[in-house]
Amino acid sequence: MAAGSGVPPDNTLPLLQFVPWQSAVDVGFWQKLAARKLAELRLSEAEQPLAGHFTASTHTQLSSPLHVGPDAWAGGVSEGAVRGGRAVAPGSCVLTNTLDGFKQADKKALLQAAAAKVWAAIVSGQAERDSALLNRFFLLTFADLKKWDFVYCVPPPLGEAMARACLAWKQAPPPAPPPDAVAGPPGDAVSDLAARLEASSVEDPGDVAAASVGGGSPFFLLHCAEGEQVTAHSLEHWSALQQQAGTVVAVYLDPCHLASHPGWPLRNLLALAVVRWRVRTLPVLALKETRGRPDWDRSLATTVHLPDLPEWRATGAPCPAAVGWERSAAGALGPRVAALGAALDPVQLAGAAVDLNLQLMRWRLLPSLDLPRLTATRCLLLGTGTLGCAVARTLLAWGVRDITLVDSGVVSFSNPVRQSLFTHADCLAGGRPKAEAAAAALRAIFPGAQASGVRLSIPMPGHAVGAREAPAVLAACAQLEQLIQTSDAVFLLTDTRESRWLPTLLAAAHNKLAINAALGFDTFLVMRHGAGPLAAPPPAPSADAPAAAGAAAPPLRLGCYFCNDVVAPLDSTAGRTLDQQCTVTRPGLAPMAAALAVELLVALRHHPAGLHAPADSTPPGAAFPAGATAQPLGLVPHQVRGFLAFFSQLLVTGHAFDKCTACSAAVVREYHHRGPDFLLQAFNTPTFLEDLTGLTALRAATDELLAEWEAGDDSAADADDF
Amino acid sequence: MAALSPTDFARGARYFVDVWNTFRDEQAEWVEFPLDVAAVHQVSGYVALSNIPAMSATPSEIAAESSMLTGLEEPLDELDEDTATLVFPSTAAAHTYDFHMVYSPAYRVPFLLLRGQRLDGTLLTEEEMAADLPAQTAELVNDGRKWLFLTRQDHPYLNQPWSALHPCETAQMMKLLMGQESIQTSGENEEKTKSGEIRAAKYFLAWFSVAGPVVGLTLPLDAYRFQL
Ligand SMILES: [Zn+2]
Repeated sequence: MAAGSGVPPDNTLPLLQFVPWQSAVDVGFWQKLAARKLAELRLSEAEQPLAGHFTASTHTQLSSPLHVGPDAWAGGVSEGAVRGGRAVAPGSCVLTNTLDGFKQADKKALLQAAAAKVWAAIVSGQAERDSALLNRFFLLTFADLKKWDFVYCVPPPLGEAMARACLAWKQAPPPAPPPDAVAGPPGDAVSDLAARLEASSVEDPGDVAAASVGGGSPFFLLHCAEGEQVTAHSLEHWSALQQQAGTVVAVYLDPCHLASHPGWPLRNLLALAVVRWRVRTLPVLALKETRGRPDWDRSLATTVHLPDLPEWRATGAPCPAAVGWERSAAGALGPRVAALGAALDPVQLAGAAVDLNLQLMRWRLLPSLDLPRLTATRCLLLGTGTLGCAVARTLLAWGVRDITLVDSGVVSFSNPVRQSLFTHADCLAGGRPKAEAAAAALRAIFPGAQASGVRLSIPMPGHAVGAREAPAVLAACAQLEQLIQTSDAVFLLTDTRESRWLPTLLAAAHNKLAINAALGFDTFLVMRHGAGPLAAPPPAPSADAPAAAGAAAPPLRLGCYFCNDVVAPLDSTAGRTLDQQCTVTRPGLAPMAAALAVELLVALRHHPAGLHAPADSTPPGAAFPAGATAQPLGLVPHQVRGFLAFFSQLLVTGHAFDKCTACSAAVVREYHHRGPDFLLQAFNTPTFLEDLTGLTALRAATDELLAEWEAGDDSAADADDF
Repeated sequence: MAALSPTDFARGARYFVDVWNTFRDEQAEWVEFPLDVAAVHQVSGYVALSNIPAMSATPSEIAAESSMLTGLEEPLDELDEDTATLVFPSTAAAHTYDFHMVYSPAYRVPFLLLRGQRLDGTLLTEEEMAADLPAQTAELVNDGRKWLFLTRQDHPYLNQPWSALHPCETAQMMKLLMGQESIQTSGENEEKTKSGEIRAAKYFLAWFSVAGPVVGLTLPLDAYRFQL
């Protein structure tokens, strides 16, 4: 099998070069490391024992890495991992507490200290009894647990270069042909192995090692006796085997896939041979495997010629200079980084899972779902009561992250049962500010939410502002305006009509999408406001529209919440008994209206005309005609009116009223023109808005008509129900 | 029913492992991890194919180094003067894949988990894995085959982030594949019969014949002839 031991060393032979061993540090290892760092190690920088594992080369293109997996911490390898001929490599880990600590660590000294352990195991003979010690590795790491980044380097520390090769590094011949089976004493592992080696060329190299030295040893000896009998032995039997006839071959599990060069583990075996066995030549078999069994075709055998190194053999010889720092993926010497935030950080995982859920909807049902556009929508929620809480939660479910909540109140004891973002704890000690508590709840539900709360009282017409209050009120107006300007959608969810006036005006003035949800006792209204009165109209679908008579007129601007009114919003809470206040509603109503409000936003965000999208109405007949759902999410109505008593909903379209007190051109122009003065006048003078828009004059005319007709119906008051 | 019981999953998987290891003359072998036939209501183990080099030949880009590494390079001359170290183009960036076949108790079907890594143990992103998938798969996905997309999914046994061919459409697909021969949720007695065994094996192979090629795993046609 190999040359005899009489071949003299030949210094003209090329230096044997070893292929560095790639380490593979598994995600699971870092997972466990993070847990241990937090629970056990804390700030300890003490060296921790590890156990890696590896197999002989299994592939013609890639070497087998030294795996450091989740089981490395257990100080062993789980049962499953030992299968398929995996061998254990002991190691250790030093975890620095800071990145600076990592940078400043004396890596050369650490490497040398690790190598000294290997050296000590060689010199003492311990490595011959437990050959895994020859593959000892070392890992220096810093864990940034906030970002789940891990910086590390893994040098399998090994001894000084010393081997000079001779003879070509060549393919191994198949093992000796099987003679008649030789039965050993029952239970004799060595004989058992020999019998199996002889019987077949497909044996598990793990078994070979296990059977010979009891436990997945990566190095062992094969004794090829005269009678072509092959037996496996522990390294410690080297001397004894030398007394017998035949050849002794040192075998190692070789992770390297190359046929031209030996893998890294041979290096320390050769050091052992020099120091302990004092040989100048060593027959070596580099064992490779296929499908968990020795691959005799790919295994390599050679005789290595070793230098005479008396300084190594001297008693108390110091450990030779260590080599073996591992290169990074880029080929440079230096540490590597495992950035595992996306895989391990719970916050990032939650974000990815939420997105995935929505992606599934897109993939499976709605290919045209524009998630980036939708989730980037900045939403401003005015009011964090029953409606506000439910709208916010539904927005989260749609992947919307940027949510600003505005409310002036604090959480009261009656709130949590209806208002889904609050708990009893929020009511204690006078109650947390609602906006802040709601934003905190959103972030607790989903850490990816960029939710913030603003405690702000929205100024209202009819609520007179004294000269002393004026600066604060105007500051609130300016703050609200700024919030609306930096939003893409404004939800009007307050519990009074008049508190919706200012945001309606501001949204119209800045041409922002406003969605309004209002509750009666068992009725609700969900609507989107039309575009601002001064906004450029949407580009006409075709330039020659006038060709068709009547039908081709440009679409009318859609109305706002106040367009149906012929009275300006006034203080609606004053003088009302409790049961007249609109907060008294059937509890199921708010979630229904809130859900519709969000779904209306989602539908509108998918309409190419956006804010200018014309209103869809319920198509006649039960079935939806094909054209009616041209938009990906179906109809984009203007108003949805719900009647819980009838479990029914109605789609309503209402066009903008040119005398509207909130969204008409006259009001918006006046606001742009006079700003704060205009606002104060609106707050303080009840008839101002009606005079400004011409409502007063209109009503006078109407009253005359009504008086003439003596009509008893009271249709003008209907809108007030909401 | 186009569903599979956990027991039949274990049977089918075991048959599949035999077939694969017989017909694929390769270096890679599926290994069974505890497939507990008795545990009907429990998860039922998995079969694993590990360290398969990327199916695509495209060499991967080396990930941009983090800024954390600035100033951490070691002086080359000091640490790299060892002439006995073979300077060899690093294979650290090579992609390898682990494939696990697991039972989904929620959908009552088998599903395929995979994890792509570089040789140094770092995980591949979904984009990198998508680039490694057979070109045919990308075409099918673009074509609207809804069940083909990869989704991040925790490995039910290992509690680690893996990717999966989402099992939500599998039952539908198996209904088409199995047709009249579809597997009944068999009773205790029937499960012990040979015919139950054959159906489990057929089901598993039929499933693999569709799920495997998506990630570049195929069996020769002969393997689909039944040996039971
Ligand atoms: Zn209006």
